Parts: sequence; structure tokens; C-alpha cells
Amino acid sequence: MILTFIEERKGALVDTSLEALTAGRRLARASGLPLAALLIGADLERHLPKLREFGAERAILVESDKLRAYSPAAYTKALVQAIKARSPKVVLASATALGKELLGRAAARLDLGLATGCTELSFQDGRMKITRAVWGGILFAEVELLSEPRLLTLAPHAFPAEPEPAPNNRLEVERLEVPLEEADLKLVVRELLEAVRKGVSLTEAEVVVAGGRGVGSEEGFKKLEELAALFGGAVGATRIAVNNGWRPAEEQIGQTGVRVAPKLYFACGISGAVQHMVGCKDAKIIVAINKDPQAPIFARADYGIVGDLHEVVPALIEEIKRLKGRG
Amino acid sequence: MKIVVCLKRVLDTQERVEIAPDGKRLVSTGLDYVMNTHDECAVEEAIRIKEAKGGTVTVLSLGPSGATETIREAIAMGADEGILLELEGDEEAWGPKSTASALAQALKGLEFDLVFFGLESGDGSHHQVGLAVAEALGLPAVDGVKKIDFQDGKILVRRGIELGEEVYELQPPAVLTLVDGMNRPRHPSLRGIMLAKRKEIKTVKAAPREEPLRLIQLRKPPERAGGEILGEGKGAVPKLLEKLREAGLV
Ligand SMILES: Cc1cc2nc3c(=O)[nH]c(=O)nc-3n(C[C@H](O)[C@H](O)[C@H](O)COP(=O)(O)OP(=O)(O)OC[C@H]3O[C@@H](n4cnc5c(N)ncnc54)[C@H](O)[C@@H]3O)c2cc1C
Repeated sequence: MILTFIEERKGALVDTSLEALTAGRRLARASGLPLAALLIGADLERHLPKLREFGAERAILVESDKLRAYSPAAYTKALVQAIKARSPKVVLASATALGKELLGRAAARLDLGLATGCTELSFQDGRMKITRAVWGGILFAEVELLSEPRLLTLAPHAFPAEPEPAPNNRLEVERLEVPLEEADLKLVVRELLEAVRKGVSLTEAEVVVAGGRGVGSEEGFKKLEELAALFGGAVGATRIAVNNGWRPAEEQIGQTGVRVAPKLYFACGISGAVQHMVGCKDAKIIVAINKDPQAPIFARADYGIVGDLHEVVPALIEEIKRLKGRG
Repeated sequence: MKIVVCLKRVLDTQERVEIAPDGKRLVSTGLDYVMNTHDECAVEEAIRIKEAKGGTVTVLSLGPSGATETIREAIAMGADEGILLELEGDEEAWGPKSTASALAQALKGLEFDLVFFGLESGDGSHHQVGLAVAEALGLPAVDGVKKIDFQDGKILVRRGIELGEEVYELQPPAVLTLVDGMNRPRHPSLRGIMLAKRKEIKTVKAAPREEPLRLIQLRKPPERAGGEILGEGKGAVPKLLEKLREAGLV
């Protein structure tokens, strides 16, 4: 069996869990093993149609009122018990905060190997080929797991989520009882604070205007904000800009920040270090504005303007406004 | 509050990222080692808690003898004591399993209220060691902490998740993995640096166990090809807009 952990939050399945389920289905079809989905929580039956749509042949539900709020220890116990009871060959989860935590703990408790942040998976001559992101994503590593079941977490958005029902469209549902003791429920989420959206989020923005050391100050970012607003986009920053206190940590793009894949990415006063570029390399078009013609960013950008950003960005804003004004 | 911070030194890849001929490591010649960025924030956070609440900060690191320098950096920032678990032989033989069991073993001999880890190391990026240590010690853990508050004798921690943040109330002893960006690590003072130089670092030898994850080879992702320099200064703006218009972006 290929066992995929499916995460639900506030009554909805997490999108990237469906990526994991799709990846699990590909492995299941390539290996001839059945595809099972594991859900932990309460009121889980409502998710069965979605599991069927994505080709799960078996749903394993661990349901309890005690599992309504997330508790790392209780959820780990449920996952570990499912693995022990069903002896899957492979266990997959999306590398969300919860997925990383649960598989990390299960791997420790069962003394099994775990490959985190996988970006490619395939079966070749009965062997499983695994590629994972290392060095925060600036490099990839081909690895092999020597223990079974093989535990894997999948980098979000590295795999597509594509529905495809099982050939006979059958979904067997089974419930697993997991006795929970007080000790398992000592640490429970007390509160879930949902992020308040200030405008469009960085990861979803179609246009990102990012600034680096060259912007020079917190004040300097005002113009970048203005440019972003003209596109209905968001502002991003390099680690240097964040470390200098010019922008909040959430806006850092790169190896230790967020990854973005907008249609258009402006890199203003950014040198183009690999640790930064890993966060924006999937942008459709990168425009670099930098006063140093030798800056590495020009070798990675689609279009470059050599010059002082404090001149170029305002000129760009004026020109766009003029065009908009003309309609 | 007694806090132990587990930290790692990693190769500073800002200058160059080059895979060695064996395909299993980076070429390190000419590169420096630095404290792993998440760990640096963990050290800073521990020192801030000590400054506010009293207590001690001990740093624990697994690494070759050269890692004492990284431990000294943490002491220069304000940590009190340092312990090196000195690994012999090839550092590449040490994966998350070996690292976690050596650290857990060492922690069993220490007194603490909280153990801090950085979220993950900048090199292997396994994201396993802190969690595995918590499991080995049978302690509660919160993974990916971005804020720690002390309120009316309670410890409230927040961790980032995809939807926002989860808040947990913690009862020590516990393990926390902390994320880069939660604070801005201080630069060591001159006095701190002098103090750290004289500090004795306790050293214990450590041997790896078998790792169930084997590295076959490293590879670089394909890089974006460069494009066109449109010109200099604001004179190039109309040309850029033309390009963006062609792409349907303005
Ligand atoms: C483990 C690790 C993780 C890291 N993670 C990240 C990460 O997540 N994100 C990240 O961004 N970095 C990260 N870094 C840092 C990264 O290596 C670079 O140091 C950083 O990206 C450089 O930021 P920068 O481009 O703003 O600054 P610099 O490299 O200093 O570049 C500034 C650029 O601005 C140009 N400039 C200056 N003034 C002007 C002007 N007036 N007009 C136009 N151009 C001007 C200069 O020519 C220069 O090219 C990481 C490093 C390490 C070791």
C-alpha cells in the first residue's frame, strides 16, 4: 500500500495534500500497490468524494472529538499506529508545517529513514528514485531510502494535483481506533490566528517588485510600493533589506524566505545571489534594475536596465501612469 | 530559565556553490563556515530570555574540532557555556539520525527547561533533528516557532503555518525549533569576543550510526539564461514598457 497523509484545516482539505495524493497515485499505479489516504481529525466523511476523485482506493479515518484541535503528539500517535497496522511500502505527505512535523516525529519513533522536501519521485526497475531540495533549494540531491516503509514529504507545488478516479471507482472506508491518553493531549493548539491579508499576498501576486541593498532605506521602498500598486502586485525584499530593518521578515524572498513564481518580477538594487534567485527563478519575466553592469542578476534576468533605481523606478511609474491615463 | 541551544556550523555559500568531483559534497576550499542562520536566531532568542528572566544559556554543537569557533561566536553573543560533540572522520557520514541520537545522549546529561534548535540546517535541510531529539527524550515540541511570550507564568509560543499562526501553551521541559527572522541576532561585543576566546569548551567524542538515507549525488538546478540589456538609466524605460506590453503585462 501507498499511504498518503491528507491534511485538513478548518474543515477543508489542504490543496497541497491533493498534490501528495496525486504523487501517491502515480507511485501506486507504477508499482501495482493500492493507494490509501489517511485522515486524522473529526467529521472526516465529508472528504470522501474528494479522495475518490483523486483515485484513492482506501480511506483510513482516525476520528475522535479529541482530535478536533491539532495536537502534535496525538496526531503522531495516530499516524504511527496506522503505519504499524497497515505496513505500507511508502508513506507520503505534503511538506506543510504539519506534514513536516508529523513525518519527522513518526520517522524518529519508528526509527525509519525520511526524505524531506522531495521534488521528484519515480520507480525505475523496482527501485525508487528520489530527488530532494538541499541547501535550502539551491541544490538538489538524488537520494535512496534504505528502510521500509519509505517516508517522504513533498515540496509544496513541486507536484501537480490532478484528479483521476481509480479504475473501478471504488473507495473502501475503514476506521482506525487510536486510544488517546492525557499525555498525548498535553500540548494542543490553543488558538489559530489566521493571517490578515494586507492586499495581495506575496506568493499569489502576479507581479512582484523586489528590492535589495541598493534601495538604501525603508523610505526608499515607498517607490517600489507605488510601482507594485500600479500592477496590483506585492513588494518583496532580499535578506539584506530585511536584515537592515527596511522590510518585514515575511517579505524575504529566497533560500531562507519565500518562493514566488509571478508573471513579472522586478529586481531593484539586487545583486542576484543564488540564495536570492532560488526564490524567484520560476518567475516568467525578470526585469533587473541595477547600477552595476557586472551584477550577476543581469545574467539571470530577461530584461535589464543599467542605472540608478532611484531614477529608473520613478520614471517607470510616471510612464505607466501616463499610459494608463491615456487609457 | 535554563536553555540549551543546539547549533551547527555550515559552509558559507555566498561566494560560490560548486559540487566536488565525488558529487557528494561542496568544494569548501577558500570558503568560511558560519553559524546556521536559523540557529543564530535561536541563540539570540535564548540570550534575550536570559536577559529578561535570568538563567543560563548553554550551546551544544556537533561538528569537527573547527566548530568550537562557532560555539565561541555564540558565547561572544552572550551564551554562558559551550559543549562540542566532536565528530571524527567524515562529516558526510553524519545524517539526521546520527546527529539526533548524539545530541539526545548529550542532553540527557544536562539540566534544562527548554532546548532550542534552528528550524533546519542550511546544508542538508532535513528538518528532522529537533523533532527526533524531542522524540528520543519524550518531550513535547513545537516546530517552527516565530514568537515566544512569557505571560503570567505561562509560556505561549506561536508557530507559523500555511493559514497563519498556531498558539501553544508550553510546559517545560520542552523542545522548540525556531525560525530565522523571528529576531535580529546581535553582533558580539568586543568584550564578548575576548571572553569567548578564554572560555574552555568542553569536548566529547561522538561516533555516527547507520543512516537509512543515502546520498547518491548532488546536482545543480538548471539556471535561467540571461536576456537583454535594454539600455542605461531612465532612457531605457520606454523600451522596457514596449517589452512588457508585448508580453501582455501592461
Ligand atoms: C544560508 C544563507 C541563506 C540566505 N538566504 C537568503 C534569502 O532567503 N534571500 C536573500 O535575498 N538572500 C539570502 N542570503 C543572502 C545572499 O547570499 C545575498 O547576500 C543577498 O541576497 C544579497 O542581497 P542584495 O542583493 O540586496 O545585496 P547586495 O548583494 O549587496 O547587492 C546590492 C546590489 O544593489 C546594486 N545597487 C546599489 N545601489 C544601487 C542603486 N542606487 N541603483 C541600482 N542598483 C544599486 C549594487 O550594484 C548591487 O548589485 C542567504 C545567504 C546565506 C549564506
